[in-house]
Amino acid sequence: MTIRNHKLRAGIAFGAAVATPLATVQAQTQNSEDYTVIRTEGGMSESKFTQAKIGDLEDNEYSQGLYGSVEILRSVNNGWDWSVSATSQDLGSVNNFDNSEGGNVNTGFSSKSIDFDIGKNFQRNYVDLRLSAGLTALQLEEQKGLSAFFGPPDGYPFTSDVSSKYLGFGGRLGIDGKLQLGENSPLSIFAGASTSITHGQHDMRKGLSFYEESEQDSIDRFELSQAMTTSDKVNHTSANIGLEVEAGNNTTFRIGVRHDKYSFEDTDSLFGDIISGDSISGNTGYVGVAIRF
Amino acid sequence: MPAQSGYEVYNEHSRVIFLHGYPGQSSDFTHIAKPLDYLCDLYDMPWLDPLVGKLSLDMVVAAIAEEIKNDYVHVVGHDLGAVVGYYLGHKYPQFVKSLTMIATPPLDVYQDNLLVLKAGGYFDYMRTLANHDPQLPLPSLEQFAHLEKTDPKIKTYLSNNKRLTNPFAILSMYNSMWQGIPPLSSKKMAFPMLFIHGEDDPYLPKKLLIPLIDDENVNCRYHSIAKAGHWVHLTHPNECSGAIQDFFKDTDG
Repeated sequence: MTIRNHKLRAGIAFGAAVATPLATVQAQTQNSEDYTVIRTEGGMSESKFTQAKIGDLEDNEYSQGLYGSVEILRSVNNGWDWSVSATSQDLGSVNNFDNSEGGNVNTGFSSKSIDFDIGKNFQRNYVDLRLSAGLTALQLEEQKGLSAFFGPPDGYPFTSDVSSKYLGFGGRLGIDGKLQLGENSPLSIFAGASTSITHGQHDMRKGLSFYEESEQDSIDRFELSQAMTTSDKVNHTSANIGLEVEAGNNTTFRIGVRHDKYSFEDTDSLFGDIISGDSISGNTGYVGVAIRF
Repeated sequence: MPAQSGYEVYNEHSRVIFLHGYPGQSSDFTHIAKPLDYLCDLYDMPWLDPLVGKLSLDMVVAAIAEEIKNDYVHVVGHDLGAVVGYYLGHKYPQFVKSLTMIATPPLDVYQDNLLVLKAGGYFDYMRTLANHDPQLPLPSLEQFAHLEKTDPKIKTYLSNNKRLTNPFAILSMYNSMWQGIPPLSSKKMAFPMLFIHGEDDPYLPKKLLIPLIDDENVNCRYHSIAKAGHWVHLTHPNECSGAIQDFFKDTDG
């Protein structure tokens, strides 16, 4: 006795043309069940995180940086798949020299993440839905530098540099949907949201250099430096929406916007209010291409 | 690797393909297949495939023919799987060595005799499914066969299986059948047939099989199992397997 289990592939897949011959339909159905998708996205992010930390600066409403993402998604069976993605997002750096005040501001915030998730796909009429759960690794880098060339006290420079690195691991949940605009339309509206909570360590460093008038009317220079590593929890949520067009040859193009928010739950950091604040958010406009084979 | 070596070892007896019904899945036949001295291919039918939006009897039959290719196989089906096997045997008789229909009569015979026999059950169920809105939950079998005395464990199992089924696929399959089953002639049935039937099956009572059993032109055998219902392959796998083994032995000579 030998038993072999098989899946019998037949029928017309959702969204396929009704008149498609069976042989082609079988091939399509097989492709639908057994496929790999490689997706890349690139765009520009902007944020007001500098103002949130330092206050309004001249000619600096938004800071801008680059966004990029690469994802590989592989089907398993019965609508299940897995996905690995790497994302880099720079919410911009500000290096602002202010002549009137005689100072310089240098801030920056960037994130890098690697996600792995397992997803379940649901297809009904023109709607595709994917629910996913998985793991994430998140790295954040944050910089805040502030210099005043002419005091206080008058005529003496003041410099403060605070930097922070965070590396955390945790879980993530996601939902992605796509609505095809008509039976044979190449256009679809897509939208998605995800949330992750990571636990990790914040490695924070602070350097301070300033002059101070002593009681003997002399000016003394002070240099302070502090370093601290603390446990921290970061909640990263993101939402996106956009338009997708099928270009044939299993290639689709996307244009969309996404919003990211990084919320910090700093436990006992001395620098918590200086470096992290409550949250940092940014918006990204991007384009993407996906190839399915 | 075991499958390949198995194919080589058992090739002299040919292989058996198993086609489940609705609700059902390929593993429903595991207990029947185990004792058989054959290479057994158990298929998950396409109405379990979540990606299928449209399905018809012809599509399924053509897909199985493609799977069989130029082999010569025994076909075992239950419920809707038996209906598929029956049409496979008519359309591609060169591929079918024998056909075993479990708890299912040939559908054309069933339809021809519906009015005379006043049979409800499966016929009502089929009509309801053919006109059912795929956005709504699939109707339960019980409302069409109040007399069914199904084991609670089987009921739970079937209920779980039903949740695995893609409603769009199964409803369009029934709809295609409801639109028109091609009339078949028993004269064309060159392959031997075995009917396995539970005596308490409320959906497809034995009276539906009588016209075929009594037809001298049809090479068919009938095996009745006492105190068994429609899900006889789940409740009485050993009896089913024994009857199938004997039938294959005689067929293969």
